[in-house]
Amino acid sequence: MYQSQNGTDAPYIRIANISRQYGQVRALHDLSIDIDKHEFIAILGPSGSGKSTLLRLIAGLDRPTAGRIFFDGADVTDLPPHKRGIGMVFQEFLLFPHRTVRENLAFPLRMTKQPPKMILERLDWAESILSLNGLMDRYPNQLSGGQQQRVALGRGLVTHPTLLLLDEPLANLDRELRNEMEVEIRRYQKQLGIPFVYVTHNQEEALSMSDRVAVINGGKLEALGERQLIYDHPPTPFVARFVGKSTRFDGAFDAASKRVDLQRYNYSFPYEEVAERKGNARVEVFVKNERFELLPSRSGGAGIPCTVADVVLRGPFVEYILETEADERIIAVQPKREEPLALGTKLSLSWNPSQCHVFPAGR
Amino acid sequence: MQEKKISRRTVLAAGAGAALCMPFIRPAWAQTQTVRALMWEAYVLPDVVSKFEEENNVKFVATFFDGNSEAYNKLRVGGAKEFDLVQADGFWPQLYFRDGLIRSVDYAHVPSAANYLPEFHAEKFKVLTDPASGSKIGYPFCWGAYGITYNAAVVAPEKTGTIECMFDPALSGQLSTSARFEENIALAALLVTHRLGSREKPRPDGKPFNPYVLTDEELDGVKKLLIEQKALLLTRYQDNPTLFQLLQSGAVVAATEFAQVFRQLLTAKDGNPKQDFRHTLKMKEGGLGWVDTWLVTSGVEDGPRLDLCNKFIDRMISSEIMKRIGEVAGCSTTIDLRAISTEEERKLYLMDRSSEISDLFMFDQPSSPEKWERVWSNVQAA
Amino acid sequence: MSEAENRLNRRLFLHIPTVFLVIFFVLPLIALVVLSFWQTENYKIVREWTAMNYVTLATEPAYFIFFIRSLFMAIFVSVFSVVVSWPIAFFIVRYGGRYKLILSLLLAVPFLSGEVLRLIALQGMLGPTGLVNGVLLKLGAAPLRFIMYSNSATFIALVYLYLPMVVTTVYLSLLNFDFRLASAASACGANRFRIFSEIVWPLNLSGTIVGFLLCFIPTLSAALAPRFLGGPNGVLYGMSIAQQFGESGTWALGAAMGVVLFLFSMLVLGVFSLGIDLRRTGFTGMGRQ
Repeated sequence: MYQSQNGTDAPYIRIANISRQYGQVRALHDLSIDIDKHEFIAILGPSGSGKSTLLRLIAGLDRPTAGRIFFDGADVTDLPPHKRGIGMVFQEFLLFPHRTVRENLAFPLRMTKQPPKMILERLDWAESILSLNGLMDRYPNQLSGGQQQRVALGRGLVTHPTLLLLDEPLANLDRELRNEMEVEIRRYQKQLGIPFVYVTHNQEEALSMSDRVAVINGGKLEALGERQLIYDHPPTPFVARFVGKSTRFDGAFDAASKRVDLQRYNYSFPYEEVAERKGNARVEVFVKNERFELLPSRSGGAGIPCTVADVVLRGPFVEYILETEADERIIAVQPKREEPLALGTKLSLSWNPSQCHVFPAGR
Repeated sequence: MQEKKISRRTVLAAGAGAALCMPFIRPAWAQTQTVRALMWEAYVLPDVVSKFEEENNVKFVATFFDGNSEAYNKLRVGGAKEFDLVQADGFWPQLYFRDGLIRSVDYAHVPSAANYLPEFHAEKFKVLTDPASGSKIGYPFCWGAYGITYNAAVVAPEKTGTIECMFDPALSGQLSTSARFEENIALAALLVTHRLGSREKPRPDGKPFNPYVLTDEELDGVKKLLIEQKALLLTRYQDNPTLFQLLQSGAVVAATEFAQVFRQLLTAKDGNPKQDFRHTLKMKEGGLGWVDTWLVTSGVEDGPRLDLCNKFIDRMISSEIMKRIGEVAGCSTTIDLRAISTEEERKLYLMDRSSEISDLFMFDQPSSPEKWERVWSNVQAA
Repeated sequence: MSEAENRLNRRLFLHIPTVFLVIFFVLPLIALVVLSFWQTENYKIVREWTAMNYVTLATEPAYFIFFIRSLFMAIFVSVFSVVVSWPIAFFIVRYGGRYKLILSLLLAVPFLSGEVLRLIALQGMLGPTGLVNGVLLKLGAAPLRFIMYSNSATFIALVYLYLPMVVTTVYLSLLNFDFRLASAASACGANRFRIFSEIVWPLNLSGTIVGFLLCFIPTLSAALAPRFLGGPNGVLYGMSIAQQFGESGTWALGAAMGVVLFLFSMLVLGVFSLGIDLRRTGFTGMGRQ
């Protein structure tokens, strides 16, 4: 754990049991997250989950109804945003339309009363690190989306803040630019060595950039952990459904045979035990789409019989849209082979039991 | 205007004229069976008008104005064809007649004309007689002056015997005058010419003294006097109700006015204790007087339309209507109402003092509106 | 419908506003300019080209004094209105909540009655027997002389008449302003004062300028308020113009005064419109939630 300046063992950023209530509506409930220095953490959740509220609380744009927030050991809960030393990047960039790029970048430096020499240095630094050469004297409305995004990032970073908060900063960019920016943003984070808190509803973004992922649902912390761990071992059905692309099956666990039987298909697989439940139980089974095994139907082994209904090429991967006898559509992702399977090919679908996630139903 | 040839200039002028007048003109083709009057708003009695409309199956359309020059201008730009009846006071009807805006009239067709007070009989009241032809050009209606209404509890009656009263620093902040520039200048001119003694000297127009015809020297004196007066005024009232309030409340103790507010103050039934308001008609330097008239425009030809106009005028100057108008507008009438009035009313409406009108200087057109306007602007800006 | 007809229709639609503008704006303006180069004499127009009216305006101090009075009045009234409008509009936009609409409609209530009516009501309020001084007199205090028939009274009246205009304009500007820009500034380390002076104010400057002008231009030409409330020393430029056209019948001079006022107003509009750049206002125009 990171050793803070005052020598204690406290985490760099500590969010302790905070709640936020708007009238009757509970936006956040008793939520705690600790963030290390050098850490890139993604706050992932569907819209309305409370993730933006959390960000506003950290920024100081809003006050929690309960709980405290600590930066580097100091309680900042009651401090206004401009006294917290943070940087922030917004979804709509929110560049100041009446200021040039240079003035936009200098704004946080001027507000924090940096000496002119320092301002010039930082502007040069931002210009080079964000490759804004030649754009410094333009107005925001003369910039492309990606350029605006970089200026917005720069404005968040020039002060070298305690932490940088990013509120879905890539939502307004097209796909290509988004992938590019994902890499760049992660690079800046590594260069600067300050924590980035990245709010998004896009699980791909969260997984591609962050070190740890906090999944929020209904104002509560659903899961918090290394991104790989969250992906491979989702602790709740919600996480299993929300992180990665999965297919869900209804099934039943038979304690005697230690097997899971799918309800709509004549398919079962061995399973050791279902947590929290003793004996027989109805279960939900989640299988990541890329973890399906596809075998020719003639091979005879156990599996769900299905037909290739469509094939979607996605670069190095192929998405097979499969139709089952129960009229369900399942998407299976496979590495691209020389010759993809033809439409109408009959297949048998199965998976490695250790690769799927089983939860008691009705949670 | 004699030039009939259509040149670029006349087209421009017509366009300019038309554009300027648009708001004022009621198109002639809009109504055939209408009687159109250009008049003072104070004289409209709605029930009398609707009764007249009913009896004669016509529509009465009134357009209002505040000052003589305004009416004169409306009549001139609109042409006499736009109105049937028009009102004016003082010497203004003479000007209208000279300009061909109004026609001569015959008192024989208006029976009520027999009831005029002696001073306003056709042969006696020369102000409404065309000097050249000797024909009558209009019917007298109401009369009044521009005297001083004062609160006798504050201002000693003998002080109001002179126009100096309205320039008395002792009454600073408690004086008020009308906003009309002609009468303010003319009244000040009476004081100035009295002090200079310039009335007996040859006048610019070769006629006897008229406070509306002034030399530049006199105008200069008027300007100085009015600038001095300005510091003493609470305000120049825009309308009678305002002056009424100012006098009633005691904020103003002396004001020049048309004796209308004076009468309203004495007859008001608003429950306020009656104060001792008095009115001085004629000051020692002289006073200004006015006689309102009904005139028939030159657009009205002999026949049914003239008959309608005569009928309307006859109704307006009939004794019972005149009495009501006197009460409503607070003015003296030219019709002899003494037979149907109380002793108090005879006094209040100066019914026995109508002979004094001949001693007053009649309202007139300024010798040069441009010069007078300049004087007035300089006074306002000082 | 044939192509030709279609084109005709389109042209008609375009031309109707043009004709309207020409009839109600250009023609009267031309008439005014033409008239200003003529003369009046005894209530008659003398149709001879001359610049005498302008010479009179330039040499007679009276008209210049009226103009200066009007100019100062317009500046004071407009600046005061803007200063007062901001907190009102800001309050409605930020804290109006679901009453926002009602509050903003309330601003328009005074417009339901005519200007003259409102002025007469004010005359009653401010006069010697009015609400203010009446109460003072009842309490045995001296009446406030400065609000009786004075330039202060005109000032109060003009503020009363045009403040709703300015508040509405600033309100609309703030309503369209993306307040998340203020959050962004706050996150950049700006305190409340800096957020206002660096972000909110400059980004609503266009709306404020429009509001200022909507107050300034009519105040500059105000004729009725000074007439009813200004007292003997309160004659303003617009009131003088009204006199030229009404009582004294010196229309040509009045027209020249009107032309001067028009040109000055255009100049003010021109100078101020340099400060308006809609692309650089707070309307970010991006997907707003």
